[in-house]
Amino acid sequence: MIVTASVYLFGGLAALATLLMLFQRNPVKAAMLMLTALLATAGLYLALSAQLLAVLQIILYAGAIMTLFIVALTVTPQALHDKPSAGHLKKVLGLAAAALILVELVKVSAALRGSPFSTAFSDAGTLDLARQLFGRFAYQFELLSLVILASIVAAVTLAAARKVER
Amino acid sequence: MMELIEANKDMLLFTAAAGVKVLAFLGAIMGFAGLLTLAERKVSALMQDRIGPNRASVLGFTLNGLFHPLADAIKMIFKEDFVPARAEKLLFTLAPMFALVPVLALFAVIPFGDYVMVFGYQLDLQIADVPLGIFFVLALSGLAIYGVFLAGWASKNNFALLGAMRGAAQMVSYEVVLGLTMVGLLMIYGSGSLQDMVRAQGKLLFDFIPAWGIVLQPFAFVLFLTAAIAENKRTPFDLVEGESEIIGYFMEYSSMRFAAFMFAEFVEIILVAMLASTLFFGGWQVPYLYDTGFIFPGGGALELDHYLVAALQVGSIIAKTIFFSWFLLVVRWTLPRFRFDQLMSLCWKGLLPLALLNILVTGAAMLLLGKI
Amino acid sequence: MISVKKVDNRTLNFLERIYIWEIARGIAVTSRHFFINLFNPKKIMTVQYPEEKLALPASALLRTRHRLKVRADGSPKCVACFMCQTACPAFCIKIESAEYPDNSVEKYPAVFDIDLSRCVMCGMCVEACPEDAISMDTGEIPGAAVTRSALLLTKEDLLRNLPGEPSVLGAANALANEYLRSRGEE
Repeated sequence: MIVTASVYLFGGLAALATLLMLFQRNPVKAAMLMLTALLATAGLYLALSAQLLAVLQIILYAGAIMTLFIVALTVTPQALHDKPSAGHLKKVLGLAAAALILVELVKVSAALRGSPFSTAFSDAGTLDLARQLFGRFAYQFELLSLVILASIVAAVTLAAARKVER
Repeated sequence: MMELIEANKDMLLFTAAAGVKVLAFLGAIMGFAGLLTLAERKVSALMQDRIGPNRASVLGFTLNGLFHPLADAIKMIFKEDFVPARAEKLLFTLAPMFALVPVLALFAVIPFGDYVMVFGYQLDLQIADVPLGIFFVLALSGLAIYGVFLAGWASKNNFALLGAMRGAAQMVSYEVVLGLTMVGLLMIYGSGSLQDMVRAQGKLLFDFIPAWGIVLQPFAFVLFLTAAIAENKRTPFDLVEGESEIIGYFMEYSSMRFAAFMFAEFVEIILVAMLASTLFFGGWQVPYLYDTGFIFPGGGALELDHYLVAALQVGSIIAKTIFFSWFLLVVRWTLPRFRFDQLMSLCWKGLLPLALLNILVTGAAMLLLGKI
Repeated sequence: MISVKKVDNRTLNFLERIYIWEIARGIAVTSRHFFINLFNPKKIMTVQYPEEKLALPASALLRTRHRLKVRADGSPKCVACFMCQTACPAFCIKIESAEYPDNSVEKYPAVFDIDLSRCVMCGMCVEACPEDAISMDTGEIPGAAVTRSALLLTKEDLLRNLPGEPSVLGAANALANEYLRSRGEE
């Protein structure tokens, strides 16, 4: 019972924080609401006894990615000012895109509804995880590192280009 | 009613024991942090051939300055609680809590002893034995950034914002190094639980060297300590505060809100000291001390009472914590501050490649020694 | 001849560049001081100020708490000319002048206040005084006080001669000396 209650609590909190974030005009406050949503999602994982996922959610999303967002926000001065309201066309396009994503999400979650899940306490060992990551999913994992390599190369190029200008 | 209590006896006992442990452990931590505020000033004074604070007196007794934390606390409580007119009120209020809560929560996973038998029940001397304790440490220390950032941003003060930006950049960088140094430990111990790690450090290498983390991962210890001091935002990495240039992220804070930030810093010292001793110096382990007493490698043995063994083990982690807290204070009063570009290049060009190298060497050694 | 100090700006060697050894040396120095002072506090050079005081250097240039010099008849040597009040950069001197009933040559200060909480101990008042009436040679260092009013020196606090000081007769002013002589006091 406690598990079901906390699933609904954290899910509701995540949804609420996300909604508030969408209507928040101040970028830093929006980032804080997004942080709340991410932490609530971590709580949701924890309630479903996916410990490692919850912890990684906090480390990667709340700890690293949101911090990078915040650093990026503070070093771009225009981010701290309010932007003028977008035009009507942009609003319509944005709403259409949002609706499309919502429909897709509902479709995907409908398929997940039938799949079984266990609420038992899982004690995910690091060794098991490593076996999965470097065994079964080795190809996908290495593909991901290629993406990271590409982004590193891009970052270095950007940094180097600015140096030449000087 | 009695049946209900009887049916949930285990649950109730567990809750009561956990409550007692939380109160006792946190009370000890808070008290020690209060004493550290005095110790910082006393240690720095002695290092510089001074006496340090010794004037606060109760009924004419000064006890060489022991009442100063009390006097500081009273002073902080009665200071004006000031909020700048343009500040974001809600976030300004939340920031000190964001700074203090993750640090205090981290103590839940740190074991401060093995176990004691109380009325036939086995009482683990750890608040929560989380299987992924080491990830829990990383996750919560990552959240500590938000206290710094929110404090700087919500004050609407440019110097505070500058400190907050430095803090965010510094902490997210050193967080990476901190995580990577722990990977080596995770590999050799094969478990993320800090209690398991401490138990694994009770073994002996070649039958006489305690298998402490410092013996197996000496390199990781240096990296860990450096990154941990940087996470703690203390000299030589205190650019976030930088008293002589920008006052730092808590510039606009006064009264108990400011005290919360200072207190978080001192609690972090204890945290770093406890983590360093838990991960690298055997935690509550005393060399050659086992459940039944001392068993020396030469063949000698000394039988000890169970409670004496538990007391020795708890005393062991307390002694290690005090030593490392002292060491961190000495480091803070010995080294000058880095420049910000030096700080960043030390992290990304120095510590990060070394941490990756450490993982590689650890993996290769484990493969060669056939430990996988 | 200007002495030139040659600084050896050699590049750091490897051991110095990896910091750790040098940091360990620095920590050794500081912790040596710590332990020596912890177990043998004799070398600590702190002076516990209000209880312990170091002897002040016997220098004529020393500036300590002010005093107003007194003539043999007990009247202040000060003639309330306002020179010190004008010269004071911290505006801490307040003088109100009054006239002697029988003396039309010089005035005397009815009020002479020095606010020590504002005084910067610069000695300008001593330099400015044409009568050599104010001086800063009491050898007392104004300390802290619990109330502001405790730091306000009035004429009564200021008027004093140093022990063994020859009683100061006469003034620098020629007219005043003539007057004093006419009263047969010199």
